[in-house]
Amino acid sequence: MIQVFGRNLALGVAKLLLLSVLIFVILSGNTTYDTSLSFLGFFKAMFSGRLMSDPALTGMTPLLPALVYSVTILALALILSYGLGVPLGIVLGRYRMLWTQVLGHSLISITLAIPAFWVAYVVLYYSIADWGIYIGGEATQIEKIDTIYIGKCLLLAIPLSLSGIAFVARQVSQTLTNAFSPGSLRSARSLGITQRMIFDTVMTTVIWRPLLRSFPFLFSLFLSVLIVIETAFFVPGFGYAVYEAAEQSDLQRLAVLSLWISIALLAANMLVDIIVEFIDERHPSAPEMD
Amino acid sequence: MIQPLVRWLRISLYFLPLLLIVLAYYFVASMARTEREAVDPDAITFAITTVPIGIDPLTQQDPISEEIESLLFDRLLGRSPEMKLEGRLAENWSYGSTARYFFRSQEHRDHWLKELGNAKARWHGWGIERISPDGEIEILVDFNTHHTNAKDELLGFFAKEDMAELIKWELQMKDSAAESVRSFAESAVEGWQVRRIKANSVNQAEFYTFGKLERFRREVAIYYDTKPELKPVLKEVGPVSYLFSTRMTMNLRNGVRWHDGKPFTVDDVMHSLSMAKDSQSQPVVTSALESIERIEPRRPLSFTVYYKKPIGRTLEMWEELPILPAHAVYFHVPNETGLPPLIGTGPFTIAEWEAERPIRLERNEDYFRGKPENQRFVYERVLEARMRRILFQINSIDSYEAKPTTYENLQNRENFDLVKSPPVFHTYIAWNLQKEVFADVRVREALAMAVDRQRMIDDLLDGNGELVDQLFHPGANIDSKVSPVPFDPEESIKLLESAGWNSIRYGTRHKDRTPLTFTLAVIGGDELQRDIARSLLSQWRRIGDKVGAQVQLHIASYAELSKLRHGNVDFDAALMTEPLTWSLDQYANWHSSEAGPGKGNFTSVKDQEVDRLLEALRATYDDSEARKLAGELQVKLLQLQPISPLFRRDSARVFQRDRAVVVDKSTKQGPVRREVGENRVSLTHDLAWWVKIPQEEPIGPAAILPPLNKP
Repeated sequence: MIQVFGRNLALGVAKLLLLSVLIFVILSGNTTYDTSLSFLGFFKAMFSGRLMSDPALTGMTPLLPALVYSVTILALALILSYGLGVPLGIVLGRYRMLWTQVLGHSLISITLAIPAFWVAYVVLYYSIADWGIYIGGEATQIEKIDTIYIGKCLLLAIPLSLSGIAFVARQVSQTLTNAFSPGSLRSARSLGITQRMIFDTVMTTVIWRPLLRSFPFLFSLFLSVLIVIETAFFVPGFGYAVYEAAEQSDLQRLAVLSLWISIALLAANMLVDIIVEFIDERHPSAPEMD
Repeated sequence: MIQPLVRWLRISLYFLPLLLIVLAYYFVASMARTEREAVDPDAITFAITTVPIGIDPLTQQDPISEEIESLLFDRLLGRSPEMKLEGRLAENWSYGSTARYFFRSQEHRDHWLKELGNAKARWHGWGIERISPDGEIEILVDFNTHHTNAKDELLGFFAKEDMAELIKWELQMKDSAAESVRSFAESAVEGWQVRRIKANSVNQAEFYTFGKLERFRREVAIYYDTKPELKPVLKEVGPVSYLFSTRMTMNLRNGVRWHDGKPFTVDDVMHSLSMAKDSQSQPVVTSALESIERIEPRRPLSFTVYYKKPIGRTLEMWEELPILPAHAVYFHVPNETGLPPLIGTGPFTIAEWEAERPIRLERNEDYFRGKPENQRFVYERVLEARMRRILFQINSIDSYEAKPTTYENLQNRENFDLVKSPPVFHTYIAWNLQKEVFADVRVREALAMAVDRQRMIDDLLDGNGELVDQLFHPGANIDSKVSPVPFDPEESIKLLESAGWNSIRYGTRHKDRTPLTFTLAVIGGDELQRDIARSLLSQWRRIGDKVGAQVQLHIASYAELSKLRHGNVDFDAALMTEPLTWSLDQYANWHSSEAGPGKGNFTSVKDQEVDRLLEALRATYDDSEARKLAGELQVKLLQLQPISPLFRRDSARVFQRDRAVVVDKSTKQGPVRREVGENRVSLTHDLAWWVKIPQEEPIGPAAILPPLNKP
């Protein structure tokens, strides 16, 4: 366990260093504050908190509330993606009647094909028009995390999660289809194992791996879409901060934001690697089904 | 053990989507409910793009703060929609004058006082209000008008041999001229002969003597010969028969209350005067106060001002004076907590103004000109133009300021009303004439000629600007045709070369060893101003195909630019945009005595002809003469170019079609309904009376109003 953790951590740090060098080389040339910033200085600026509360940054989105906004939206989008995607995938993987297949897969294809930006526009525009709601504008200060705040974030999480739902559903259905191949079903039946028993085994063991492995991809996808949506709808989140930094050619801020995103993605990836290896260690006899 | 767990997992997986959907509905619906409750149908909501600094009537703030300030405070006088001067906190005012006659002795004085008292039947013809003795040998006669011939006719009434002839003297000194005369009068043997002392300014005084002239001449000459360090210049002007001064009495409106319920009185006016004088940022008031001999408050609601010399344009000063409460605070800083509420007399009060929150103004139910129809104003900061547009379309905001580049697009939209103000926003470059570079008019003219103003109007304002060289509000009716400085790069270079800027070194134009470089101050919070400044910089860098001037931008805050405007900050050149003034008395802005810290002549222009015109303009009571003099002044100033006008433009706001009107309750004939923008002063001149018509059928107060007469 400790060995797995240590190995992954070391690998993660190495990847992070490589990324930082890349980002620093490309982006640190032009900056608002320090004209000659060393690599170490760049690192220091990233973690010192100066970018969160620097008075020179008045007019720009403060980063800490921005981070809270974006993390809430991302978390909600992930909950929706897995919460709706997994059951949908199970239904598609287990019940193979023609109509479920046609309906389910059409739904997945359409959901994947609709640009999240357009869905966001529809949701936000009509939510404004009908209910007098709008997100963003000047609401940079998060006063308290209540139902209104969650509701606002949900409005953005819904369009974000559509592609996530489709992605997860497809992963789960694919795993189940592999597990319930006609050959393995036949041999199971000959051994007196019911379909439900197989299903329960699959549910407790095999299904977690594709779900876990898809997590960093989903995370990365959501982050990219979030930047577009936050920019378009003035949500004072992390994605908007990235846009602002790019628009004002503040390359140092941009570099730091990029690095933060990279760290988040690397951390997610590392976490998944560790968990997957941990699960594999606990179930050495687990059937290889992907 | 594991089996039930797996079963539960299976069941919960199927119910998870349902649960998520229910939860999502709950969150979104409860947010919708809260948001719907938050919509305020009784408010007019404006979207603003900058954070207003705060309220301080004594200093010039950013435009939004000034707009809010106009809703919170009233002044003594204001303008009607037709630009006519009318009373606000002042009910009425009257002019008068006083003549002071001197007699040879107390017996002579008493005799003629009695005679004049006996001739009361003739008082009406002379316009006499009152007569009184003063000192030992003087009679004061108060006339009910500021220009009277009766003061000379009275000379014929009194016997000439009984009257004393005064000698007028003028003393110019480095400092404290009046104090010096006073100390001479107290200490010298012949000091008793000094009858009156008038301080015209710190270094100039006039005084009047009566007695043995030869002795006085001798002693006063010796007195000032012994004080060469004060650089005294004493002049015997000659004999005068009487002293004459004008006065004005202003009666304040009865029943006006401050927002805290305390009555408004003459003490508040006196307090405001002293605050304005001390603030170093009210040059108009400070300058006009120097012409005032004394102010006599007549509590509770009247005061009389005695002037040193006739001032026809005095009301323009009283119009400028911010009226502050003597008993409470008069400013508001949104970031400072713990301050007591701001007190004004205006139609609205601040209900909420905290940093990062929308500003809410609630109407003053007790407003003396009638309770406004509109319940409250909300100023909400929405930075992005697209967001403003969305919020406007869904009625979340009622109005926002449109940029000139968007006029065309907005005018073509069915549901939008684009209302423009008169073209009163004047953009100009101010030169600091104390700087060596700008001391020469040829340099100022050359730099003005190097600017292609028409192209700037086309590029930066989308054609929505006027190339007019003008210093007064179009409604002031100043009749003088000044042709704008032409765009002529060749002539510009010729002028620069003739002024000695003819050598090019290291790619920069030089005069002797001085490079032609300077700093242009510009407001940082205004995108358009920054664009104009950048355009100027590039046009000056190369004039035609020749090397021009190297200019650096200095981004200034509103506070800094306001200090610069009042001579409190050093600068080279500044790009300014200000509303054109309707005050004809421009003494504070251009008179040579008004240059210096806390004064209005921030360009430090000094010209005798300008001074003469300003003095004549301030003195005249005749409006048509004043307009003529203002026209001459405008021509002269545009020749001197202490400022180089660029263009003037309007401002515009977008409203929902047919949903904004003005219901003016301040008129004598009762509420008058008109269109927003239908006044000659400015777009927001009648902001207090703006009314939002409900979207459906008019209900409430709007329904009982007469229908809108559309042209």
